[in-house]
Amino acid sequence: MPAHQHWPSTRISLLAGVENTNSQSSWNDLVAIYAPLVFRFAMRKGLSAEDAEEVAQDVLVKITRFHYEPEKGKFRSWLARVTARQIRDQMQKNVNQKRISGSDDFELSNSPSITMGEWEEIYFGRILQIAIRNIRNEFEQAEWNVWEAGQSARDVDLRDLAKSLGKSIGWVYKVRHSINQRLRSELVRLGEDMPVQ
Amino acid sequence: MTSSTPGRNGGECPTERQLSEYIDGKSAKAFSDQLELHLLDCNGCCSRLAQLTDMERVSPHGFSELKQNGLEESAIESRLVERLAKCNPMVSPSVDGKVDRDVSWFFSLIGKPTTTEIQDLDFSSVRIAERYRLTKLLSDSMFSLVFEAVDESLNRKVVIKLPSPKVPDYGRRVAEEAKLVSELEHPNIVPILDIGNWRNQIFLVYKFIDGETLSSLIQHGGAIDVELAIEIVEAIASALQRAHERGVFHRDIKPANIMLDQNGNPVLIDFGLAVRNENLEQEKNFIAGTLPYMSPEQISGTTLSTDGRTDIYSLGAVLYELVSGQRPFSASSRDDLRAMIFDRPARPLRQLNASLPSAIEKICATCLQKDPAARFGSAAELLDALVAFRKQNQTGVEENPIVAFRDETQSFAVVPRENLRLSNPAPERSSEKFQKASASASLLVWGFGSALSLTIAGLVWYSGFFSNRAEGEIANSKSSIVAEAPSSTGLGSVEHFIYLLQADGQGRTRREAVELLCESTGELVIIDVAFESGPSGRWTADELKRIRESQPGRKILAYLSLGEAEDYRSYWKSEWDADSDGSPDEAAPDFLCDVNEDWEGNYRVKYWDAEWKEIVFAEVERIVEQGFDGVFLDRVDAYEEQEELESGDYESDRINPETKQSFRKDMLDLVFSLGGRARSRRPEFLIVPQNGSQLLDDDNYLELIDAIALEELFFYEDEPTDSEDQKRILKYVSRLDANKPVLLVEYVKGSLAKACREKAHQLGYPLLITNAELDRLDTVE
Repeated sequence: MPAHQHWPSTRISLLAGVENTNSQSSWNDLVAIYAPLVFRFAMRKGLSAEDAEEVAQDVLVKITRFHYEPEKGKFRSWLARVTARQIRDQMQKNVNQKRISGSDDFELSNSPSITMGEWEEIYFGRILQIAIRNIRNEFEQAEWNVWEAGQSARDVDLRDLAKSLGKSIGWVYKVRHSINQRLRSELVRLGEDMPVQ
Repeated sequence: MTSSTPGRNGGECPTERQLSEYIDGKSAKAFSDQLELHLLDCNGCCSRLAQLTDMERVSPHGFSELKQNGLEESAIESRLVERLAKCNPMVSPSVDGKVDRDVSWFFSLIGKPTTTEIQDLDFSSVRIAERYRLTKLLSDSMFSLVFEAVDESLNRKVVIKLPSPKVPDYGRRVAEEAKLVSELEHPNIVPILDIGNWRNQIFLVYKFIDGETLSSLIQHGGAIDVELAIEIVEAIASALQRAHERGVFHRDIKPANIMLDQNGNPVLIDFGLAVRNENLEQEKNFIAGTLPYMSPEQISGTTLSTDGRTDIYSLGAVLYELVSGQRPFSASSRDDLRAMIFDRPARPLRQLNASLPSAIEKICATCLQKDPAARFGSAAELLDALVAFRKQNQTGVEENPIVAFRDETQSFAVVPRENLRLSNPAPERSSEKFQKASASASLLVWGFGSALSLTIAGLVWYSGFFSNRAEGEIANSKSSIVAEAPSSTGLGSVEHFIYLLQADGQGRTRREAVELLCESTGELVIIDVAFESGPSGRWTADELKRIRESQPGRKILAYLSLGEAEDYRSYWKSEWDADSDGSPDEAAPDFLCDVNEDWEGNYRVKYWDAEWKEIVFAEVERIVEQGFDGVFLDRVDAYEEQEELESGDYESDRINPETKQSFRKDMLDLVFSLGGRARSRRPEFLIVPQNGSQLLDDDNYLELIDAIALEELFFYEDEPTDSEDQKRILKYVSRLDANKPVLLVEYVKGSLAKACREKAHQLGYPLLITNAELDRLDTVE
């Protein structure tokens, strides 16, 4: 199910949807948006894919069980806290496991210190992915290719790219611009307190 | 369209605006064609276009991440999403409701076959740890068995509790909490005598309370006398206050867990379900309690929101039952009961018994609010309401019906209804009266609210404000308070200071934050009132004490914004800006203005507004209570925005049409009255404003404050500030006594930091270089 058809105006209503109506679709949306995000972050912090999946599941369960209250601060900060704690718990669990199994390298385990900066990069990266997914059908694949080439690497020669497509270099920049504009409005609609300029 | 048409192959370059119009598709076709030709050759214009269409222009964050992960999620992530979609926790059943009384573990513990019910079991020969002989089974539940026993070494009765090994991890938790409870030492909390391990089974030994539980008391006699009920609940609230202060939540407050000993002293027993603050989030599936007394959040298992206010809910349910003989909710099935606790308000007490005082009805109703935020915010608040009720009752001022009300400041006051209007501050004194010579007296009198006559009404209002003072005390201490000087001798020398508002930044735990603060150097520590937002987020007196005592002579200030309302504070109500558009909604109070675009969640306020002042004063009161040494006042410079004219110029001493005096004076008044109030409580209370150096023109202000902090004196957004401005500010602060330090705060890095250090060194002022989020310590100078 494409998430954008069901995306409520804020993630708070998304959470409310799960809490109040036991709504399966709210839960699906929540999972679709945040599970990969938490997973990615847990991997980044050095957990195995298996553990990272576990963490993602636990965090998702937590954010539906616990009430997020705006007075607790920004949603993304709250999610960061919940995630950080879950990662720490998971690491602790691994340490305990090793202890039980007699391994003596458990001292090496560290608790992750998380800076908001690195969390926000991953968080907003995920939101951008969602925004792109939502507007993907509005542009041609060739246009996306141009846009992506422009963002992902300096090495891609946009002139060559334009030539290979039989287009002018001006067209390339126009495409970039119109996708950017559309992306901006989608980010605003998603309302993920993303600092859109 | 324009004269500077780009020429073919190397012609003139287009203007910025022309380029923008081009990518917007707004250029004329002929122009576009020519421009595209121009671009074939002009690398400069290509980079200009590249910049114009850079994604950083959409949003500065997330793109590097996107580059790394690609536009789509990975296959493993997609599979994860698919798998998790099938495990919606709201559809799967929770663990509560399973009443498992399997006590076979006890049979095997004492080596008997499971042939009888436990009630019929003969355990008279069982001696635990060679010392405690079990004599009588007091209770059995899925969680534990509780016995009366004889301590044969001391020949006295004790109570032994054996946590069930069948409940995962329970024994360890109980042992942990027992250690904590042993430190509580409160006359209304049952003392724990011993803890041990017998045959791999943890056991706890409690003092034997010779008396009766409240449940048996009401079972036999129904409702009890209101005064007795209030005394009992007061005692338990006081016990809870101690426990909550230490971060321990009981979570199973009910009549069966409250005993009256032979002297009629109420004692709270069974901290078996108690949990420490920091362990709450580990308790995700652990839903326990006694349903009729459980709060909605406790039932739903939203453990993060289970905190002290859950105990307050349950205690309210107990009070309700004590005075009415009925529980707030009763139903024929657990499911129905659960639904009622979620959805229905409890029946107003006076519908059950019209002779009950309305204040008791109010107090119960407040405790039993579904939303924890609408309940008493702490056991101390409940206690205050109960004490105030009892005092009013004793002095017989029953003519004025007493009401407990939750005012805008979220602090509780119980006052005769006719005095309620006085919960607004009295009219402001005229500025002429405020002569330097009489500064101290006027300050304090103003602190009391109304002119020079301290009327009874004024006193009652005052006691509502600082509610732990009895009225008589206030009347008696009137003269001594007025004699206290509000001016200060200053903070003394400060070489290093710490300014950390988001101690939970970087995913730190509370304990880590305290340790970090203890280890960091600084005679002065400026922190937020709370480690994190939320009801139990505030620093406890113990934590503050630890931080303070880690270094000799150290003082701790609480951050408080005077010019902006922050949407994460407890006073904030979501309906003030429900749509989060940054502008106050209809339900918002008059003082609230638009959000400060630079700081999400910070809304400008009319700081001269009476309602806002009440919020500020209540905050200061809490800060005093909390054990801070003083307050750090941010946004005292809010008057500057008011002085800005439409032309962009500034008008010093611009008059506020609402108060008919200058905006500066309005700010001075606010600082004076909060200072007067705080120092009438604690004469040595420190007051340190940030910025707004022009206010130092006022001699009384100069005397009142203990130090001043200046942000961005040298650099603003990495640009040097105007040197004339610097001079002006430095001239103002030079008026301060040598004993009142000037604290410099700069948000810079690298070479600018070095420059700041040199400049600060020249001036001889302590300097802190930090980040604007104020969430880290590692940049402390």
